[in-house]
Amino acid sequence: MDEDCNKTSFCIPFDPPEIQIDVPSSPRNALPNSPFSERDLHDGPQLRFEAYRTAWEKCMTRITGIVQELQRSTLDAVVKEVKASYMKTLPALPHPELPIISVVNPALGENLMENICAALESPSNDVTDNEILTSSVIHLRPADFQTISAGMRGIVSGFVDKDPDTEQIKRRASTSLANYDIGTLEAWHRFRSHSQGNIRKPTLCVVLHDFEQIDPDVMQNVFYTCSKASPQLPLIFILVMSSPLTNFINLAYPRSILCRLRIRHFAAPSGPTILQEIWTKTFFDISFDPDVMFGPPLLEYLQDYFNRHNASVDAILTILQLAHLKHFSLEPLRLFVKHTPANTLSQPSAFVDALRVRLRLASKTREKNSMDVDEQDFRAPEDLITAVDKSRTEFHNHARNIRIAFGIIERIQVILERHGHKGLGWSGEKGSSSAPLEAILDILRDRSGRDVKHLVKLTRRLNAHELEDIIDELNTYFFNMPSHVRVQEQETRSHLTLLRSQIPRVDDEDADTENIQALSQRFSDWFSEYMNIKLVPIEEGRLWDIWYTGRTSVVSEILNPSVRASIIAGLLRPYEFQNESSIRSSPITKALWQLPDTSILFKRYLDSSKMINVYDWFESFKSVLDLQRIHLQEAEVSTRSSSPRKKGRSGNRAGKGKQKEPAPMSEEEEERWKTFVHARFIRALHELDYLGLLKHTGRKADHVLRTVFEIDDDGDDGDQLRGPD
Amino acid sequence: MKKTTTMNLRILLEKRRTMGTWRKKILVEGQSSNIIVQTAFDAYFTYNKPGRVQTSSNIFSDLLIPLSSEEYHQAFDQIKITQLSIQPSLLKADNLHSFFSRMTCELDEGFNILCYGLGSKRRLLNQFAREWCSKRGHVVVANGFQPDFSLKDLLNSIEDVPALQALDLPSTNIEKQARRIYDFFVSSKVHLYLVIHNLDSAPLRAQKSKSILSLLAHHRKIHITASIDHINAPLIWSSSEIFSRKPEVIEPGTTPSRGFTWLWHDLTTLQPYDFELAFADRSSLSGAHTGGARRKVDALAAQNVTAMSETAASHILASVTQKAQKLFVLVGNKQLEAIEGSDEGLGVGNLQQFGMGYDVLFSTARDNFIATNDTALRALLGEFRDHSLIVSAQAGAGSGEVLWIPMRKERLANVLRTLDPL
Repeated sequence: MDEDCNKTSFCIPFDPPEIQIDVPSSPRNALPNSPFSERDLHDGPQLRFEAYRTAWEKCMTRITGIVQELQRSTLDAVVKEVKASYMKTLPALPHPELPIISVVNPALGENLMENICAALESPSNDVTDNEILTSSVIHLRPADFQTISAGMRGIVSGFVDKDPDTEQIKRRASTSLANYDIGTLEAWHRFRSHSQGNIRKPTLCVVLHDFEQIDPDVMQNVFYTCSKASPQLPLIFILVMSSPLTNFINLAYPRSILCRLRIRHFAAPSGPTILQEIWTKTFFDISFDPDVMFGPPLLEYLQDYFNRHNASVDAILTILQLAHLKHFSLEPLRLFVKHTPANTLSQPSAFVDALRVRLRLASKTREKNSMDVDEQDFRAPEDLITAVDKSRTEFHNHARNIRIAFGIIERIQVILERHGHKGLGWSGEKGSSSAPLEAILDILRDRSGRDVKHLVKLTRRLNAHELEDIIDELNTYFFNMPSHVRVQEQETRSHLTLLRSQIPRVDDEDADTENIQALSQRFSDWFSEYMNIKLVPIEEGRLWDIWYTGRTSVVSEILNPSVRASIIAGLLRPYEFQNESSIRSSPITKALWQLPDTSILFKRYLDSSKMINVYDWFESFKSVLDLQRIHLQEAEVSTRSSSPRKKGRSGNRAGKGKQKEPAPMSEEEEERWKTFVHARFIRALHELDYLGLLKHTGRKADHVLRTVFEIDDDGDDGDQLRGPD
Repeated sequence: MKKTTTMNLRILLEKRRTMGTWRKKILVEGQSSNIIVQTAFDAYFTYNKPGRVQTSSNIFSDLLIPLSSEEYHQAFDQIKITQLSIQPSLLKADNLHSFFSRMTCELDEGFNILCYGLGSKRRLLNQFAREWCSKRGHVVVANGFQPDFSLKDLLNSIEDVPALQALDLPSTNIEKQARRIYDFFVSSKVHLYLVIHNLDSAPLRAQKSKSILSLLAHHRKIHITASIDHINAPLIWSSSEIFSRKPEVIEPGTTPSRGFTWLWHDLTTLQPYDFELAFADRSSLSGAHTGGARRKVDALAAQNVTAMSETAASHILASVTQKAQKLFVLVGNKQLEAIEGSDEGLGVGNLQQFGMGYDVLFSTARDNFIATNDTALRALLGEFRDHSLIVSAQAGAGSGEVLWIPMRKERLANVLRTLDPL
């Protein structure tokens, strides 16, 4: 490929591998190899990929549904506003107003605008007389608004070129209007509405993405030009903004322009409620069973990421997808998440052995805990399949129990709050909006005892109203459960119904306080007992780690990298990158002269003040290289004189001892050495410059400025690391 | 009063010094007891104190003559032999295989990949393109580090893909071209893998390039793997651009969404950037600075006059008349004499000081029958000046023009030796 080095860009043709008949699936659909590949199946990565796809698609479909539900109100409001824009013009205004609709959408991503545009462009049947049938929509971005004429050209040609009828028309430059002239758009619009014979003209929507990034000086002229053409030209601007400031346009644009605009604001849902909504409805909703459950570290990471870096649905989806990918890439057994493919267990293999060992271990532990399990040795493949299937059902039941428990806690809390109690303090001054997520974290960490105890205490003192409401709410909750779950909870339901029937009528309340107290007590006892049954840690189930990530950490570098730290570590401690394991043992210390040229120069850079004189920098670099030369010469001599075995590591002694005089050089040699050092200096300097570590200044001749002020941890090891100064 | 202030100042300085020593002591002594640890913030404020920065008055370009490209090449060849090479564990075959398989999986799952970290990533990414991507689809590799790279080249290379060549390609407008590529891959069965070296290079940083790349990057069947080297490169994208996910399904006829969906991978190779910097002007200190968009123009303009190589000089001398050669020998010998006569300890210094006044040269040339009049001498000099073999400057008020040969002592001596038979 090196022959292509002079081309700025080149193409490598598609070279499909020959299809192998004996390999059922192509390499396209595979996960990376597991770290435990010795006990993986030969097509393990492919099988796990299929399992991953199924699990992820299920999860994503669910989340997409939730997001669409969140979008719905904004979407409807915006579409309604656009359709009615040119129907409600105020009479007797000095200037006709240009409709501007600002949509603040920091969290829901491009998807919201896509749905809005799809709704605008599709001809709807349920329009009233005051509304316009359809709209023509174009999308423009900050790059299109570098200048006024470029912006106008974008708008005019955006509509004109989009129309298939006008595509064929050839325009002569001498006789037609310029392609940035609003007159062109007017003429086109007149022609179009005339040819289609519509009384109600379709509106022209311009969607401006990332509106905050468009230069207000350019944009205000565009607005002015467009408002001149209004209302003959039914232009509507939809501004997509991501800053939560709803009055951005009022702040950034002068009044002279604002008076020509009719601005309407719409804000899509944003903030921590989105994360809460998605998490609870995906992983803690009784009507949905995700294939994989995620442990506390992921939820904590998501919360942190959402609050600190990027509060958007796209970030949640990406993090969840990566968590799925990681989960399935690690452990070979995780191909059993959804199904147990029989052929994987029919042949003896390391994979089957590993599964057998796991199952035996699990049954031994259960035996120890005197749990009811029949001793098996899982010899037959059928036994293994049954055991895995059984574990899966157990896990899903287990997870469902936890979901039911959370649902009950949540509902009791809602009713308590409705009756003016603080309950678990989820809302109010001290409560934060993420309180339900905190409760979920406690449940997953098996620390929910405090919350449950508190609720038990509170429910003991309920009055008739409250008790009635809570039981009604819980009955509704159980009633709305999917039928297969409802059946399992039959006993609980009848218990609650019985309790409900014993509550005296509201007007008898005063008469029978003792009875109410007794009922509250019974409810409270039931609640306590029920929670004890339901809230069992997931980690206690057999083969739990196939379906649950537990305390596995989240790899955050892949999303939130430390580019700067990585480059600086590479410069300061290049030898550390040789280490195979990520666990750091003792740091590798090397003398300064043993480092690569760029590192030597960078170390000197860190020693200097904020402005560096290049010549002095060169001198200090040269002194290290002189030392390096002496050491290398010594090493060469010792290699020649002694056998390689006896050779000590001269490198570690480097610099400690007295500096030795270099072997005398002839004038020619010295000249060559100087040139060599000079070339190496320039090379290293250019590399540092290329990495963005230097800033050139015209203030002083041949001086550069530092851009990085890091601390060299090794720097204080003192003179041992340094060359002669 | 003044005395007291000076005293106070001295005490203060003394105190600070003591504090400094103490602080350093703790740092040196106590790896285990890090009571005071200096952080990058401390360093920033220490180094950015108000006031003048004290540096010496040495000027690099005055004290050292820039090397010629030949000398660089010789030196670089030598560096390759002598340089201590460090092989990061990532580059071992097994690790690389799992790294590439992970990248492939992520690309297929709708992400684009950015590789960061110290060292040239060109070789590795090319290997990835050749051995992995080309088996899955069409591959286009873009060398963003080349000064004359433009996004148009990338789009043209994509249109060189055999399947696209069959298309009618009427418009050369860069946006329409990108849209055409986008639309083609909506229906194409084969995917497109773009490998872009140095996405942080000046041509790719521009708003327009970013906008077009974000269109391609948001396509389900177009996958981008790119490398960045600049320490502040992540600032190019906003967080919504970085996270914006590719649409699951692309409806034909709708306006496409834009974004990058980056995943970041640390690909520290510790390899030198020789290839990327092959286009840098080695004779200029700012030759590798990536800030300016007009780098290429600068690079061409900055043909440093002092970087004349022996070969170049002998080529020029071979093509001039004998009289002109004699003139060169005359100037050269005078310059060598002047250099040798000067204080050796000063080093090479500025060559202009060893130059020859025009009037002195004219009289000497007339004495040696090289040029009998001013016009003839100027004609002879013209050839050398055109090729920057002899340069001139006004020496100062009243002293007239000074001429000298922009070559260091040894090189000049070598050139004169080759002309010696004359």
